[in-house]
Amino acid sequence: MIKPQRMSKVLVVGPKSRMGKVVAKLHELQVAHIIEHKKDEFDLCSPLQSLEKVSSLLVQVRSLLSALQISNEAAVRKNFKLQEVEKQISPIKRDVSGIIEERKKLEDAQAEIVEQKKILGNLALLKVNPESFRKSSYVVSYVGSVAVANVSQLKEKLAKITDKFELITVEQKKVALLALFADSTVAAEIGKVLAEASFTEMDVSAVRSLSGEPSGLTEQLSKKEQKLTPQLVEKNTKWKELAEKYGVFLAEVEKFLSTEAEKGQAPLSFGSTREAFFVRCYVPSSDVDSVNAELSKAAGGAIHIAEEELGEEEETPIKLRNPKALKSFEFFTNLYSLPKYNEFDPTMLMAFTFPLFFGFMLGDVGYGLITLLFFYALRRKVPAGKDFFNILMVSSVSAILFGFLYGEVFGYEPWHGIIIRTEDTTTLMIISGIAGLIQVNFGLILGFILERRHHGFMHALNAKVGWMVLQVAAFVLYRLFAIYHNFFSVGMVPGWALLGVAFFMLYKGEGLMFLPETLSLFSHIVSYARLMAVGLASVFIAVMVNDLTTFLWHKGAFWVPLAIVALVIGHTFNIALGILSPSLHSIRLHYVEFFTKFYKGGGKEYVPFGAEKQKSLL
Amino acid sequence: MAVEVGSGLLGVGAGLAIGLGAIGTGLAQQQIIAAVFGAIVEDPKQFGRGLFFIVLPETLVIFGMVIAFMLMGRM
Repeated sequence: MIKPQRMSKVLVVGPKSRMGKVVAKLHELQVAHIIEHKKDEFDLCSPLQSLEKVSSLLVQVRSLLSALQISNEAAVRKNFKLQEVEKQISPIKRDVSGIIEERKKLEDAQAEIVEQKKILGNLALLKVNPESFRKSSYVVSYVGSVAVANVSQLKEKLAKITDKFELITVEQKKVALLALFADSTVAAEIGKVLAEASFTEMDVSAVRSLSGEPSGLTEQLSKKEQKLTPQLVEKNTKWKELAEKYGVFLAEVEKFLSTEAEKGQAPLSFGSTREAFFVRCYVPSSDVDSVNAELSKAAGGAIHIAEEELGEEEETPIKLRNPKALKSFEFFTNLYSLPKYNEFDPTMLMAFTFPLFFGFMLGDVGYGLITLLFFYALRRKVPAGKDFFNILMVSSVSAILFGFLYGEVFGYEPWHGIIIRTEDTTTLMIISGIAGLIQVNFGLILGFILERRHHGFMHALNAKVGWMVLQVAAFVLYRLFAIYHNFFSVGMVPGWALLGVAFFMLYKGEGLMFLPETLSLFSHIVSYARLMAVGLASVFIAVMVNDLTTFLWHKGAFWVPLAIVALVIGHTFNIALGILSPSLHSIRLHYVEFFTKFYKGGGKEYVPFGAEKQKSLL
Repeated sequence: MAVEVGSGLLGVGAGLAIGLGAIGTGLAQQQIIAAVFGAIVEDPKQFGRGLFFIVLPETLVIFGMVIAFMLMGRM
């Protein structure tokens, strides 16, 4: 059982002239979690001088990256000189923006032609030339569509308003295309009538400047479009060439500039006097000496470094330290909440019990093998989820081992297992209950250790051991009742006495709130029955799928394909459930039933200055 | 096959324990799932956490199952 990495608080004071060097060194060491200085009698430091130039270059480089659609994920950290970067960026910028502008023009032209052709297509159906829609002070014109059902009504209404109109309609299934020209003095009334008929107007402004037969115009436009295409292809090739030519360089420069910007901004978390700066940071205790030495060397001995006491209530950042093999399981601790500085890190415990529970529930050699391969493939495909998939691979192995124990391969029973799940349900239930008792009480013991340290022995005894006494009392009462069959017989007294002791301890330890909590303690232990329940569901679905397949198979050759389909779909479905259910229920047992006994969480993450952020699913 | 009325009722009780527990779980999950999907739309990263909340009320049906088992043991 380990606690998070022990931290020391370090104060660094020095003249502002050495600040740049100190920042650079801190960034290089990647161990210092800088504590932001809040403005008090000491002001905040101003950023490093280089920041302005760095930020302006960074903006330019990022816009180039996005214009060329280059991803900088794979880029490595490299050092450049700012002046060089500046010199190299401007010609690249000229090239890229030139190409992009030209391409944009071509694309716009192309889009316009497409739009014009679409409109002309409709006008061709209506047999109206585009020039008819030019603005006029005597005639208003409309093009668009209405529902066929509304056309006759529309005509009648128009006729009532004026006789100076021309309506052309072409029916297309349920919608009618419509062109309407009318006397402009009654434009308002016509607009109203059209709205009543749910008229949808078509925007013809793109073709107003054209004149002639729609079909002839379309042909001309097509010719124009054909000329545009190769030009566009050429620009695109050039654009791709640029992306290839400058991609790596730009991505590396971006990375360099972002780290420079990070360094430049760092002093904003520092405190300052007129001539000096100071910064507090958390450093892993094991690194303090080397950090001190390195910083002094970098600043030419002109700085003062002192270690400060950690306060009891301080929000010390949390760095988990687990053996490399178990690192992946930190995923679960992160998902819940990081431990507080003085709490236990539950990662190691979960690394043991999560796969155990998962295997106990899934427990099938065939399913385990498939999920193992599946998660292996996923891990290669989605590197960001590496931790999670590692956990599930370990859990799959556990499922295979339990599969051997149960003698199950895809729900079949090729050999006789030690426990046969479809029959020994009582055994499974008992094992689940025992698992619950062990884990819940283990949680209580851990809680006891922590409480003792922070609130003294008596409080810890009452608040945590009280729960254990309560369990013993319940057990004794249960056994005695089996003998006497009457809760109020004299023989039951030891049970009642124990219960009294438990209640007294809990009242002392937790106050009156222990009463409702009493129920939740037992429900937490019973909750472990899910270990059996989820497992049984998985076996019975598998058995059912196999039975159905056998049944169909023996029905005759005609049914064989169906049997195969049933087999594949059934088992796929069950495997999907077999991944989802056991993993979620296993996590839940840890988070809800186990953690509540000793773990609060809410720790702040340790973010060392200068370290690159790891990609994670979270 | 003759079944005694007593054990028949125990069977019905077992069925009710699981069935009613499942209804309770369903009612709870209905609202949780709606809320979780809302959260996922806002921030897809909440998917894992949301999935975890969805299974929380499944305890109810498991309690029902435990009761059912106890009843079956008496049949």
